[in-house]
Amino acid sequence: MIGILSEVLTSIIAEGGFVAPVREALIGVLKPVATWFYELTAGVPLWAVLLLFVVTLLMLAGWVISLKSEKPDPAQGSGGGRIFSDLRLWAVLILLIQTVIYLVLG
Amino acid sequence: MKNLQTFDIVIVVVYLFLFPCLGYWVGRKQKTSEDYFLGGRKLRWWMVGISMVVTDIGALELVGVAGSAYGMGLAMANFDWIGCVPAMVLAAFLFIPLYWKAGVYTIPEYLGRRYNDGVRTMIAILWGLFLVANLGIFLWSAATVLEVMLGWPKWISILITASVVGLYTFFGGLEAVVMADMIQYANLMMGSIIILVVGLIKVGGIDGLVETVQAIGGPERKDFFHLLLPASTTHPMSWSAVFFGLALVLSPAYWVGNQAIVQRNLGTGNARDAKKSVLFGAALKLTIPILIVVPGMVGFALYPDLPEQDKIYPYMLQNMLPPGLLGLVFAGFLVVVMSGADAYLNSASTLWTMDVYKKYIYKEADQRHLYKVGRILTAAFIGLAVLMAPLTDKFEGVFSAMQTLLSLFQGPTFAILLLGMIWKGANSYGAIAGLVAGLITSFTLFWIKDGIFQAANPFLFIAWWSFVMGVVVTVVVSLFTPSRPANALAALTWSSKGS
Repeated sequence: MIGILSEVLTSIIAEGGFVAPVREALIGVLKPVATWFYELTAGVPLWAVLLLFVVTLLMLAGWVISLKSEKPDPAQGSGGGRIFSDLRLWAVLILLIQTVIYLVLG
Repeated sequence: MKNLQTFDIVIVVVYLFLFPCLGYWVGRKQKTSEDYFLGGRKLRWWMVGISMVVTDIGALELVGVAGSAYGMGLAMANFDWIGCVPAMVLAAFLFIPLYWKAGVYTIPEYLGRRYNDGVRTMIAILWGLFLVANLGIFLWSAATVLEVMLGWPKWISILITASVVGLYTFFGGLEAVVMADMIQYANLMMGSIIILVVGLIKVGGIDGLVETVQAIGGPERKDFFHLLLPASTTHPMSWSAVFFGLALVLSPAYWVGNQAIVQRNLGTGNARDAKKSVLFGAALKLTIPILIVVPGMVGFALYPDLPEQDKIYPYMLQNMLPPGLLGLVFAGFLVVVMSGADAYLNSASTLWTMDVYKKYIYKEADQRHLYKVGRILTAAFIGLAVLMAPLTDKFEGVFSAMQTLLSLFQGPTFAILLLGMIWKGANSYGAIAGLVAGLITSFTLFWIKDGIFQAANPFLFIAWWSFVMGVVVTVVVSLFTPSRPANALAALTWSSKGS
């Protein structure tokens, strides 16, 4: 019994069996969605893409600045009063460098 | 091609011998699972920042990204720039504080508290399998390097690499891994800067590089110097794949949802140091394409007929460095390649110990017992990775192998992690349904990818669509099923992190 079952399964897999039609059906359903997305993105000019990247980075920098200060508690040690002890500024600096890189090389 | 001189080989052997010694020295005072898995929560922020970057570079960057830059050019820099920096900033201010508040060892442990044990177990098994499978890829990468440099058969190289990585991780746990990463980073910088400078001089500077590639590159390299590629390209790095698949899904999933990365953050002394470590890592990431992608591009101009692009970086090392320095840099290069393996080995051991063994096999296990189990699992996983390493040869390259593995499940796992953190309404029914739907989507898309995608290797699109499916199903199912009471979510979501 197990031998027969194994033989049937092997032949189904080897010949494609019902697997190939299922695959074709899935491609038939999903291909239009993939094509739509592809055409949508292929139509975007690269200057607009660059703008998208830059705006995303700047929006993230804006969100970081909107958070509450990330300075250490002065009671816990020195450095609490210095402006660069605020981690938000470092994050914004990193994001701005990233923005400049994309503006220059993008 | 030059061979390593005796002096170089001696340096390599001494180097490889010293790493297990370092692991033994670091681990001699460790007694608990917190010492072993989290370095006793006393790691310095700058060390953790460097360690995260070196882990990320590992085999993937040196062999895979440099190799892909050889074929594809500057677009590969997206992996380190838009594909890392924004996600690391997001991780520092959004995700890391929540992990710290929760006081967890692993990401599945967090998800278990946020949703339920079912979600925790599913994610633990997924990540556990992924980490072990990736270990095999890392070993294969190291073997590729050794094959080029020393002419050793791959299986011998795999055994040597596995022994070195296995021993220092077995003895020293996370602290040994981080200490080893410091040395590896110094070597990486030295080797890459030399290759970059010597390579650029040989090719005639940036102008010479551009002229050479334009002369010999042919039509398939017409976008070699473009950071953003049109969506119509057949390369995997089209702008749409980079933005949707990499920047929005795979990158944040990696930096906030990868156990090997997050575990280092949890090893710092406090939440502020954890944030500093990620930001420091992000700053270092800005420089990595200059050290790895550009040498890969220079490599094409100098050696355009290399049969396997993945071998460009070690090939350049071998042909550009003088004896003595070659041995030192090569040894460093080899251990950088190993650095991904040590991190994944330590994290796989942590995950299976805390989320499987302690959860289901021996709930009353104390820290000393878990420490011993962690060591045993470390040894078991490196053995398993040796057996799995040859499977990497089924893929086009190590980069493709790792990204394909990542793309299959990082979209759905990130979907439930993100929703769990930012939306109180997400519940366990939604998370399980979203995870299953996302996984079905990714495996289905992988199965039929040739029939629907334009790109030759659409792993970034697979990650994106499986993430979208994971989000949609999690939200819809959560809306129609009972939510957890607000007091059960205290300090586990962004809006309740002050609780």
